[in-house]
Amino acid sequence: MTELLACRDIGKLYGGVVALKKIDLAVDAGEIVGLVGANGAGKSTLIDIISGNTRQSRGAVHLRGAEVRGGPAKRARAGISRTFQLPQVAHDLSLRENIACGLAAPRFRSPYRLAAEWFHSAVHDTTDWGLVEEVSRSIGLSGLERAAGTVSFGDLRLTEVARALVQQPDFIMLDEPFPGVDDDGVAGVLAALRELSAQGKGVLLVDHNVDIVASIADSLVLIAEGEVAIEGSVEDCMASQVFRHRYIGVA
Amino acid sequence: MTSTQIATALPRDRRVLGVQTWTVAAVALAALALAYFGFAVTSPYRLDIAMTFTMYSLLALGMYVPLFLGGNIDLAYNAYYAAGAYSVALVGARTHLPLLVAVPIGALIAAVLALVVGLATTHLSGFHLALATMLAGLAVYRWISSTGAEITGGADGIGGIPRLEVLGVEFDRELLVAVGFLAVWLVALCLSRFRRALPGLSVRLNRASPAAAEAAGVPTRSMKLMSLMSGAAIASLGGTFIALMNQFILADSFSHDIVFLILFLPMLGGIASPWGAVIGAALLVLLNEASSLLEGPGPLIFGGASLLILILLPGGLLGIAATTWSTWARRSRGSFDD
Repeated sequence: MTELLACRDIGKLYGGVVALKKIDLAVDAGEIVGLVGANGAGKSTLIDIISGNTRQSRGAVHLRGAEVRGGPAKRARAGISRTFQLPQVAHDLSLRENIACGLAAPRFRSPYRLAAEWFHSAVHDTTDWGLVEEVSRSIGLSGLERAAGTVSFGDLRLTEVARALVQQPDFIMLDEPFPGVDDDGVAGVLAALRELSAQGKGVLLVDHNVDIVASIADSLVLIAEGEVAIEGSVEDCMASQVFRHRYIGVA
Repeated sequence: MTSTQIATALPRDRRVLGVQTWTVAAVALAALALAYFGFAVTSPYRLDIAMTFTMYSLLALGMYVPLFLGGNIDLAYNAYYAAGAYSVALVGARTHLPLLVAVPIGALIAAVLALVVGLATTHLSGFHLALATMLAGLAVYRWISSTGAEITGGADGIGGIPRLEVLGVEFDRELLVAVGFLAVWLVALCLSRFRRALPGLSVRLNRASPAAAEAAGVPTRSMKLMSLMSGAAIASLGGTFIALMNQFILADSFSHDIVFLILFLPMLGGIASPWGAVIGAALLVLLNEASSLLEGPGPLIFGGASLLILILLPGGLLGIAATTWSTWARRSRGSFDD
């Protein structure tokens, strides 16, 4: 399979504190990689670096062989989408409106496109509400007219997942999307990820629920103390004594 | 006023008063027509009141996107207002160009001013942005009233602006106010459509969470500039209108007082909708009128009334109307049915 996204020799220092020592990680087209590790291992830092929210101290991120540079918006337009561990939504917007914001990535490709859409939208609403509806239905999120400030934490997570999906990304990163999400929601998100994978997109999935991650991932990467401790197929990792000890906490 | 305060004052419903945009627009058009024929044209004095209302409305609508959707406090609105007015004055009194070209020229100059202000304040937000833009507004006022006197006429302003004439039709004051009312209606309608489509939603997401907007692919920096520029262009129409109406302008009209006055209008009317800015403007001229009848304590009564509305009705007049409407709708439908 062809390599879609690669992190090469990524290191990150916060002041004098080492958050990531050396991370090498690759996600192929159509691959679902589960990223696991204890709290503070650096999972979210790695996602922030790939999405451009944080700048790495060392190393580079490559998408389709080319180095990825620039801020998060530019990377989103290049095809990288993500969710946040703590859902980031506008509470005064409805779920539908929050999700629709993901359309910015495919639509606002240049300042000229932004300017054109800016004035056009005052006359005619070209927002693809159909896609918003369809994506939300596919992950089992309903009641889209509800204001984001009034819904459960689980529904906020699903809203973020839906927003990341309507970006029509080539590579999607979900940072702990499952806590607080009910079984239907989990099944919906997993189905959507399988669908993306079947289309040749790449997925990086972070979650504490190792059973869920193992049920869908093609391979697992365990990071500990800022380094890749173990990587490999799900079967190998789950069979590994070290993996079970480091992550699940059983000897 | 912080962005969180703005956010909490917004209602939970997508729709204004729980009704569709077009219904609201039709009601607003009817109200404006009623105000025009039943009030504005009945005396020259009332026409002046209608003129002030139109100018306030356009300025407040100009502030709507950058400030009330985007949370960017730009206080240089007196400069954008002046850009529209001086374009008309200079084109009308000093050139032989058709006066109508002053309208796009004014909007363009205002947008360029806003672009400069926006670029100069790229990394500023909140209090610092407010302060920097206020200074920009002060600088423009100072230039108009003294240092730039050779061009702007200084404190004496510019007079002798001819009547607007388009294709042989002369725009007298009655006709200009009608056009002004239509402009207010059209701008408010466009803004209420804008706020619910993708660009407007992106502006609103960016106010709540810049990280989320960036991650969704919104070019937040270009977007801030776009909102400042289009807001300035709308505000310039207020200046264009006043200069066409009065056929003279005085530098004093473009001091900072106007900025602080219009800043409150959307909040009086309700910031959940651009129509709130128009309602706020109407309220201002009516309260002003009522309080000026009482000599002496008039301005104090006006200030007190505005303050009461802001404290008691954080959603503005539209907010209280929306609450009343939804309560009534729920009762008439029978509660708990959804």
